[in-house]
Amino acid sequence: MNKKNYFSAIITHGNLAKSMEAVAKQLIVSSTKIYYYSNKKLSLDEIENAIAKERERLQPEKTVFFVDLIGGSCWILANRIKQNSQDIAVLGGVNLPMLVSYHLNYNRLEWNALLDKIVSDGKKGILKRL
Amino acid sequence: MDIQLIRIDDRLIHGQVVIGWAGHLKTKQIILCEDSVAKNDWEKELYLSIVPENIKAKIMTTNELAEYLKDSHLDLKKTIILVNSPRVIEKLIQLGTPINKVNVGGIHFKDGRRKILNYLYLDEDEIASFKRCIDKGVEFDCQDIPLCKRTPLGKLIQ
Repeated sequence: MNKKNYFSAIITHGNLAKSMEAVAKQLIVSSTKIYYYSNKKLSLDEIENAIAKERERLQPEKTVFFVDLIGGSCWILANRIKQNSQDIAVLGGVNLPMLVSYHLNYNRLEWNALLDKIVSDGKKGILKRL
Repeated sequence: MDIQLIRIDDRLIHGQVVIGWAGHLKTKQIILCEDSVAKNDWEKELYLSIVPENIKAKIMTTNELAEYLKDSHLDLKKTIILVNSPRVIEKLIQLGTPINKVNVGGIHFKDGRRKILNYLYLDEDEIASFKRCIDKGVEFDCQDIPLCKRTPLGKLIQ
């Protein structure tokens, strides 16, 4: 099987993206690099340019953006990059189980199955016990 | 004209506006005024999709908004108008829109801009545009979210 070439990035408010990427790496052996971007200081155009440069360099076959808040500026940015591309996925409401799932299943599952698994595991990671 | 809030925010509709300001002010309508968004159906749909159901939303070009605001029967006491740059405020004034007070909520870093506040970075053209508006009587207060301190912009860009 050919080695996968997916570009993945966490885009969040504040320093959340950097921290989530770091914590996920401590929990599980990374299968691939996850880039991270914060909207704290940079304009959305600057982040978009930074991501475009990385994607231009890496020429990924697929791209996945993990963003924190659906409807937030990170969501808008990721969707602006995605537009109508079927090779770019935007996953909202990122949590640690989603990132762990991504690393665990990166080499095991094909693109659509991988995305479904990440979302499913993210939801499983939210539980109410009374 | 009594408008609830006119805000400059280069991110336009996003969490700080929808959750922060609209929730705090019990806003009923948001008008996004930005030519490039108003002329792009895909972007319009994206921005409109993130507005909560209990808030109406319109997206207009600067010319359309200036024309819209000429209607003296409008009730905008629960309306936030969002623009992404002082140049839009300047153009609205040129088109005859009376504007007295504007909230400066955020213009973020990119090449050529210098830091004014943590959430406000401006280039020389933007500073000049703000100054021209101030000369015409517009009062700009910097405040990214409702609970943060309000800082008059005039002193910061003297």
